[in-house]
Amino acid sequence: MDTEEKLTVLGNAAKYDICASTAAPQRRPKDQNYIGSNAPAGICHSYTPDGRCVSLLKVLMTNSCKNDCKYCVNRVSNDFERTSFEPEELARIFMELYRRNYLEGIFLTSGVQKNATYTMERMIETLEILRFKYKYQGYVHLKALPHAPSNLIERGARLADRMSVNLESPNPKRLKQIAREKNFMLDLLQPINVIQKQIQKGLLKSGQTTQFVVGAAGETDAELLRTTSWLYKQKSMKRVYFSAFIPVDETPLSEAKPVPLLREHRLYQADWLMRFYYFDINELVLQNNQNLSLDVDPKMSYAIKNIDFFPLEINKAPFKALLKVPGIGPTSARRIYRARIENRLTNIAELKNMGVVVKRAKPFILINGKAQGDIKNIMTVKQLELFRSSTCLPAYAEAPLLLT
Amino acid sequence: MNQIKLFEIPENNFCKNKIDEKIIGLKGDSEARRLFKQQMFHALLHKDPGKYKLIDQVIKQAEEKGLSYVLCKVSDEARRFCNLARQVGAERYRAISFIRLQPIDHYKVLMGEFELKHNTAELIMLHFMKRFPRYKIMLIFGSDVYIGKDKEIFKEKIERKKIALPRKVDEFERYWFAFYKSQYLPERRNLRYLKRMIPKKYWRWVTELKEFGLT
Repeated sequence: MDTEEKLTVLGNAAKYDICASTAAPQRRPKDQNYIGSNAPAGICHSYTPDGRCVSLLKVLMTNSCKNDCKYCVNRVSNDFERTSFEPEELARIFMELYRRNYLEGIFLTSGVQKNATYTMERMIETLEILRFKYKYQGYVHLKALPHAPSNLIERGARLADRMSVNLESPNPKRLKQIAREKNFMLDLLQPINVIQKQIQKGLLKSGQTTQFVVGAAGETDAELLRTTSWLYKQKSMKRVYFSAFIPVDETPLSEAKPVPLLREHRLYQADWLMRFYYFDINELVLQNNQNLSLDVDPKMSYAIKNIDFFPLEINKAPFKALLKVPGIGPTSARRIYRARIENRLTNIAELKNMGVVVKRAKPFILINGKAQGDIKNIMTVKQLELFRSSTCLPAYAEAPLLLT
Repeated sequence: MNQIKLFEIPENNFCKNKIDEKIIGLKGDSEARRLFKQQMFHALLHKDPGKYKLIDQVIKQAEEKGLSYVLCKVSDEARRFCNLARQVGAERYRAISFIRLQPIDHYKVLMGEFELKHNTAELIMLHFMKRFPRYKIMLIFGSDVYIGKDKEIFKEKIERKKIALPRKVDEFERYWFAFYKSQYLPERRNLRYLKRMIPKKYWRWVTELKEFGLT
């Protein structure tokens, strides 16, 4: 295969890995002979027609794999031509593309060829060429393969800005259903623990991430969110990604139904509530089937369920309470909080200027004691109708549908 | 060639020292002052001739009600002022995202081209000079050519006909197109989102979009 074909095949095989973030603190090179830099907020250089950012050279080192995961096209039992990059070849292609400003960094992942040690060695060799031969100072995301030995993870952590291990499923039982060879604790959690230790030592400034395939093993949102919350609290996970399961041809799951993208979207909304809105996992409202409502977003679900908590006086409500109001995000909540220290907010137009989505926020707020919308209306309008029809319990339900 | 200095903004009353003078007297902590100064720099790079009047208005508001009143965009004027700064920041971001560089002169020079509305050329040059310190950076913005070399930026007017980027598709451009195409998930097609991320006016610079017939 020539290089162009390899890029097509190995790029195509890596496209289901989601992480596209390139945000990383600047490195401080010792001399001026380097190439590349990190951008603290990240830069996206292109987008495909699916709206996804293409800013990393996201390729497999090889599509040979000894594993037989049911959802994966590279599984060992699939009969197709295998190929791989040589470390020097991949490093050279990347540097040329980086120089042309097509890319912001590299995301290096791989199938497991021979064993995790052999493949990780080759991935690390590629990164060493980039860092030492080309003096590359930009962004590197390195995937730790399942069952990767600790010493290789430690070596990788010295070269990369971010590392990740894909859990794919929220617990051992679900993992067994889609990837029999993988041991949840030994193959996946163990590398996560080693990466966490490297972060604690001050390496991997962009932290570690993981990814779940949503719906491949029939798992519920409750299971996914419980594990997600645990990863954030216990494993210093920077970010958890959700990828709605899409059946891939030539896999045992090729006939399975794809998971609606809206489900993935709702999981991300819930994830953001936990990370940036100070929501506890127990505050997320679930339906009877232990999934988030597809009709009403998680924050509005919370507001409707906890209707007695509202309306809030915008000039007095604590910061964390402001974040519970639909239509008020972390930025607008910060602005409200800061602005009212010296000045009293007096009208809805001011909130609009500050970035509040007033149409959503109005029924839930008071400005100087004056209601801005009728909270009773919200219970009869579209949101509540949708809430009822989707068998989600109404706000005043006695039986809690909360995660425990 | 004329050497230029960053933020040397001609014909305005808000030169660096004057901004400092103005800001020192305003109510607000050091972080608020730093942010306000940064917003002011960006707003001054906006092409809108009405920016000076608007800046006068927000300084007056900041004197009366504090810096947080302006930075939190409470008033219409503050919102418009912050929007000027945001638009300048957005143009810089899009330029550093979508400018494609071509190595010329035996890999000594990286050359690119873009179209700017605001006075963001120096900000963009600084980004590339920091990223590629081994190279000379040469960027063409309309009829101006900027050359960055050894931490200095030079600017010259050019006749458009005399200078042009090499148009030949090289092997690495082909590699890029092949890789870019491989990343698409047809099941997730969402052109509306793509248009939000790359507004149509930038499509001519993002040449790989042609691979999907988007021009």
